[in-house]
Amino acid sequence: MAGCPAMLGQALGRLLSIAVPIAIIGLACWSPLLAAPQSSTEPDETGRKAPVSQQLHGLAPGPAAKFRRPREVSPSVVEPQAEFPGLAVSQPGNETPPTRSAFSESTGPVIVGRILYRGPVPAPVQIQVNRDPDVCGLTMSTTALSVDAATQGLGNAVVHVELAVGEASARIVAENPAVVRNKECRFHPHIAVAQMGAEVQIFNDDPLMHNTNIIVDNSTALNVAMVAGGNPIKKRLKKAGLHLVKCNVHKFMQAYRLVFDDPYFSQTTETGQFSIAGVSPGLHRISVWHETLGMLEKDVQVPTRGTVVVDLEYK
Amino acid sequence: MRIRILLAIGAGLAMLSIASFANAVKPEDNQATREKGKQIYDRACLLCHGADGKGDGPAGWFIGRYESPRPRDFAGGSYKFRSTPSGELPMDQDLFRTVTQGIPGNMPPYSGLSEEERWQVIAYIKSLNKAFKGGKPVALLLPNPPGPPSDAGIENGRKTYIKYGCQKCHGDNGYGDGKEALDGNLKDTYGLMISPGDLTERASLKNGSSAQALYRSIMTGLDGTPMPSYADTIGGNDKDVWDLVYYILSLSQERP
Repeated sequence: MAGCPAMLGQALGRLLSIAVPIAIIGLACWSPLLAAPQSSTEPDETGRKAPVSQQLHGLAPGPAAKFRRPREVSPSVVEPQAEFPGLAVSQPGNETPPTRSAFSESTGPVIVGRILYRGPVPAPVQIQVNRDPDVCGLTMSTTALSVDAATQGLGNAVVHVELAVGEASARIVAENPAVVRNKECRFHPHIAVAQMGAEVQIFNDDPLMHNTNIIVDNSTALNVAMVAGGNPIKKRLKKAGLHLVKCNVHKFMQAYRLVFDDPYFSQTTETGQFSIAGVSPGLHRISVWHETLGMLEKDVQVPTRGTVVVDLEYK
Repeated sequence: MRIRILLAIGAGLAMLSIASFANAVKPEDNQATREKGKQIYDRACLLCHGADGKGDGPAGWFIGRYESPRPRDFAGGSYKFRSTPSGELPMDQDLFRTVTQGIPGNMPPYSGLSEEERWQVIAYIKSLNKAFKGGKPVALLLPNPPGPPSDAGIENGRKTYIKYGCQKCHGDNGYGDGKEALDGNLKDTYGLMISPGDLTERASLKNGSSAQALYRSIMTGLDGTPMPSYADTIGGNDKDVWDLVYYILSLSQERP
């Protein structure tokens, strides 16, 4: 009988030694699953990736895509001027350019130019549509090349100025959302550029179900169902690179987004013009991407001030 | 006397549970843990997943290097089985579940390893992908299943199956014979042909066949495959999703 309190004490101690680890382990195991969902607004902290143009070299954006050397390169420096005739800053969908803090657009150098294509322009290809004809139609016309007949300017090309080695990017606020709109079984726009960290907004205007499957480097960046009448999707772009946008239930739906982790990019206008400001002085590599024509590259010396004119041409 | 025996049995079971839970204690993710994990990896995982974890092990020639599903590329590939939103890394618990349960038809369960060994190999696997050093992933809210399904609920699940477009890939009756599958349109992120799950065969459900596992697959999607996440677009329709889950389970003619 004298041992009873000791036994009780031991039993209590043992019970506590059981209960406490169970509680701790249970909490450790289940608390993540009980966590409230959270929109991912934090920037990717995985470190900087290789320049997008380097990533793109390993990809085949279209059947005719391959690396090409520019036939004619004419970098030249002109004095700063109030306006560059006939040129508009080309960031489609971005009515107000992003805020730059490191370099002033008014005093720093500006790279302007045109992307040209003088080769034959194939006629639009008619694709037979065999899904949901009420919404998608019976045929779909695809135009791989958008070339201005008067100037030979190439539209929907993407120009990027890579940072010099060891150079840090100017920080900008990626406030302009990248829009992917599912409408009449097409992605609108077909080509677009965006800054990493910007919000991608996905809409479905069609009365049927799509999915928007964004693939970067053979990996899923985002794959979301777009149920008819469902909520629009809003997510942060966390991966730089060439984003292939597909719908798996309408295989003819395909688009591209080029996402950069610096602000030095531009999408060409219908007449092939581009403008990129805020780049630091020094030697920079300019790369051009086009869905079917592939890539061009050229090294350009950027002065401390003034405008550098760079025209590149796909052979 | 009988009470004493029951108490003794209970105490014995409690001690066993303690032993089990003690093993569940996650070792600290440090160099020593990762080195132990690498030793296990080289013994148990390398054959399929490769020396560098790129999914290119020697067995890949036979089990899917050129067809889907390939062994997971731990260096940069997508993780199918997660409790996190599409495009995000998995939680540690997701990796632990996959290692423990395996993948029906593709990967054996490694419950033969002690829990500590499984955590060690997970620590090593995570070291192969720099992204794990970034921000920690956050799981979606995955509630426990509601009560037993009603016939009306299963009927609503059938309608939801059509509304969510499941039949496009999984087929009208869930056999995995939807139009997109039959036409060969379904490909993984490597461009390899991939088949949708046969929902009438529970062994075909690679992410688990419990009600909660199905709910998780629908909400998170299976990254690397055409299966999308429904979490954002159907927000607020939780009942529809559970009805869909029970409808899918009813296709295998086993009441949950």
